[in-house]
Amino acid sequence: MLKKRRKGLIASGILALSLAVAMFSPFSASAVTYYTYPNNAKMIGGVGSYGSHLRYYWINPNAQQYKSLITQARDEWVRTSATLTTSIDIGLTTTKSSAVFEIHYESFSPWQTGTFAETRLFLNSSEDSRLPFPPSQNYKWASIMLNGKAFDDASSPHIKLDTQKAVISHEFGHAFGLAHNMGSSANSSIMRANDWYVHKPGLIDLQTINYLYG
Amino acid sequence: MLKRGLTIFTVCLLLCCAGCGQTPDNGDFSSGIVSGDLASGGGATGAASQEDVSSQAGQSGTLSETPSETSSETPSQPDTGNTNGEQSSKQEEQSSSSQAPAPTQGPLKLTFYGSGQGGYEKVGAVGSAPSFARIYYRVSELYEDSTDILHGTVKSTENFDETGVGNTLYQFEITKTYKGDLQPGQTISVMTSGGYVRVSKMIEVFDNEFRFSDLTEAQKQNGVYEDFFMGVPIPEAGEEYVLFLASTKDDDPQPPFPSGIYVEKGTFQARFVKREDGTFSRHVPPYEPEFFKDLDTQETPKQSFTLPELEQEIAACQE
Repeated sequence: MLKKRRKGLIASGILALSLAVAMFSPFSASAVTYYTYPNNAKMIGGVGSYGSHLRYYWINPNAQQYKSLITQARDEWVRTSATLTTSIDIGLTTTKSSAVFEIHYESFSPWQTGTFAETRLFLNSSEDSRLPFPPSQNYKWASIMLNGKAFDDASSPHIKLDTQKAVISHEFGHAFGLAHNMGSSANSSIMRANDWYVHKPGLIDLQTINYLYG
Repeated sequence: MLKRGLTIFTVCLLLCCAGCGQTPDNGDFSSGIVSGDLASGGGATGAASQEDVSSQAGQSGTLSETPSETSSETPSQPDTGNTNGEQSSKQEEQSSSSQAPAPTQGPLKLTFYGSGQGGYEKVGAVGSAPSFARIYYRVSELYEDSTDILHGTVKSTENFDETGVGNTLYQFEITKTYKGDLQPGQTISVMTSGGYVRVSKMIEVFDNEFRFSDLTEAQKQNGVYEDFFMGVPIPEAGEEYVLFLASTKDDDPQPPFPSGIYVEKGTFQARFVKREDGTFSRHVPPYEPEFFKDLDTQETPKQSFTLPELEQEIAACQE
């Protein structure tokens, strides 16, 4: 009788413990930290849909000299099936009004500041267009600005000649909704704030895209 | 026996459910995802002591909490220079209406470089996320890259939007010099990122009027966006700084920038702002509380100094 009761108690305990582990496991098993904007603000309409819904980027004639690098950076965000498939599908357009990403080569800040580039996020509605930073609401379009001479001279110690492509790729990441990666995965992320160790999106960046856009 | 087992089971189940009360508000519990950038909204309130700055910054990047919905307005205002203070300050900013009136509160009096002062309607805001040549974690790193290091006060500010992007040009009166040829008593022009930008200027520079098709003609002519550079406050008259600057005198910036100006090295990274308690510290981007964490060492160097401490740091670089 006593043995049976003990067995019953043990069985109940194990069951409850299993349940507890199962319920808490998402926190302990998945230690991934995704660096996104507050409220996971992202681009309205998404960044593509696995080939069925293309979003477009437009390159200002003043940035044509960097078209090849921009294309490479774009390809490295789109053709990722070897690492992880995401919904990103963006194509080049010459019709600016069709684009949700504008890319400019514009000296917007004196080069001595050391700002290589920046991405600006807009929501063009007069009713609710007050998009603060950090953006805590979704946005409609993004403007990537390559900062003139500062961008021309961009160099980072670990990737040297690939720095300009890394900067473009980094800014694409911002335009997609990724914030700076300040965590332990920073060295394998194109969203590290500077001194990149990689020159294209890493697994963590693609995972973050899937986290945001599914 | 069965009853007792069931009781234990129920208690465990209740405990589990209590634990689940910490589920992120965004419903991502099922995926177990945590979002580090949400840390700035992670419930920290009230100003931390200055000693807290270096120890707390860099620790809160993996919180799993979702911030409460923030106001759509984030007027610029000096912060307290620390992670918790940033959040506290932001909350105060959101409740304040005196710093940056909403569009319905009448025209903003703004001064634009080359155009003088005028009344403008704020029609929106834009957030900027940059990539930097260098993140300056330490005073010694700033020292290396600066041509001039100064202590002084902001006398006046004006917006510079000739590039279609918001910059602020401010007059800075020097009270003490630590590096470079400038002398106390001189006033120089310093440029930094962030400020107001006219809609008309954005349309002129980027030729994309269709982006603003929902604005009235009056708003296109007289509207301004507030350009937040990483959400960091822009300089205001009366503020006291220790600045790490780069001179442009030997290599002028390309037009349309004014010649002979000084720029903050690394923008806001170069600006140690005097706080209410008398210490000097830099603004921390509100959504990146770990911004000054050295990613290679995973440590955040000391970020808040009394003036003598900061001067000592600078002096140590000179030796």
